[in-house]
Amino acid sequence: MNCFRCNAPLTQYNRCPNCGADVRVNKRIMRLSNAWYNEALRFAAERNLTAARNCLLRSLRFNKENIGARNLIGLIYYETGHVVEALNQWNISQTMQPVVNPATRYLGEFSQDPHVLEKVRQSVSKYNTAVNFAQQNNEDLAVIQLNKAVSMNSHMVDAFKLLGLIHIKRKEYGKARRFLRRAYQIDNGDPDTILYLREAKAQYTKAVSELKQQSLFFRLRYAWNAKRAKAYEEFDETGFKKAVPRILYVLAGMLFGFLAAVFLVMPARQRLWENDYHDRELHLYQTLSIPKVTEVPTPAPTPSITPVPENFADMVLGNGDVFGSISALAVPEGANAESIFNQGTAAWETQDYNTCKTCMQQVLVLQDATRDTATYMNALYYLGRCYEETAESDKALVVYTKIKELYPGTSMEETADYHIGTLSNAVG
Amino acid sequence: MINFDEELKKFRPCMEIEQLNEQDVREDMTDMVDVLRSMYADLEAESGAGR
Repeated sequence: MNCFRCNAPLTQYNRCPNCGADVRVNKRIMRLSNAWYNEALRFAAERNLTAARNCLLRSLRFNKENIGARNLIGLIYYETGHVVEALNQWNISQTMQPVVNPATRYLGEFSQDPHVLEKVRQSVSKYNTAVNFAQQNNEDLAVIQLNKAVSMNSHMVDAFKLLGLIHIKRKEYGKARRFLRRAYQIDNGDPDTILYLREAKAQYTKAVSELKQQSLFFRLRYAWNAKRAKAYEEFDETGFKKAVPRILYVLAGMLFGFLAAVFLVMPARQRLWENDYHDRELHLYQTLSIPKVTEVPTPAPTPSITPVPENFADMVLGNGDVFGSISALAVPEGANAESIFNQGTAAWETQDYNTCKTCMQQVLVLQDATRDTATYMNALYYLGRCYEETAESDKALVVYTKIKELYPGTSMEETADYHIGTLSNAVG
Repeated sequence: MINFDEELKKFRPCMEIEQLNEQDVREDMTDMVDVLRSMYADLEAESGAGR
């Protein structure tokens, strides 16, 4: 601290040791300047840069040579994007105290890199252009220029504020809030930023609320809630008496639905399943060439079986028309070829090959007139298999040969071929 | 509700780099010490004139 009159360093006394001037007022002015500087430091630490700047301006108003205050206000200008003002303050500071001054370092960083200054110049120029555009109601161009400015200088609080203001005017509150939040992050004490931010938030909430009210979902939910509230109200008013019929209606409806399912839907479904099962079974039999066994719930009355003579094979070999010969065999009247066939297949299952053989012979006699039926073909096949099982290979070969002759080009012919091959190998 | 036009008037163009030296000259640098110094000089002048 120096004397205001002779600039000599002062002591703890109230008089200047050099000129003898009363320096009480001088000292008080210095203390006030320092107090404002300290207050500014506190605000700056809280990022309230606007308040800090105001304190520093007061501090400098008391003492323009307060180097700390001048350097700090330069830093605050720099932080809020006012780089030219910052350079100005640091220049003054360096002029006042050329040595041991942080401002020298700050200025040195700018002078070392000319691109930084060029960038600053362009960002300021674009911001100023944008302000002009905005004042001429040309907001689209203003936004473009401002976006360019903030991309060059990301601390330009005024540019963020203006962007926020323009977006508020355009009712783009989400964007406005984004830019204003950025300005608030840099300087949380700017009253304009706070005002715009509040306005954007209020308008944004209002817009969202209106949108919700217009949306279908909101309307449906509102209707549902209103209906439910009404139902509760009715229930409270009339009590259980009014609710009982509704419950009964619901229960009756459920019962009716259950009965309809049991008596109408399920039988139809069951028929479908059965048909499907039979189709699949038939397809499987046809594919595998296995003779189909038809289930008969109640077996027909078993006719008395008249054995076919044992010279069956001889007759086959004899005139080549076994069917003509055996047609004369005695078969009980009223006998059903299908039932006899089923009886035979049942005997086959129980490995009673002689009974099966007899049954199949009778089937052949009964269906001699219509040889192209599946029953006839299957009866021949079973007859052949029975001969095989009873070690009568010759007769089996005759039967398989007959199958080949009667049903050429069918899967049964292939099956007969297979068995003929097996028997030939066994004999050979 | 914000009045856009009124708010827009608050925005002023930033100082350009080319204006840096001009601003340095223009700025009012008078502080309380200068005022004190001036008052003291006036007092001295008055007392000198009285003698």
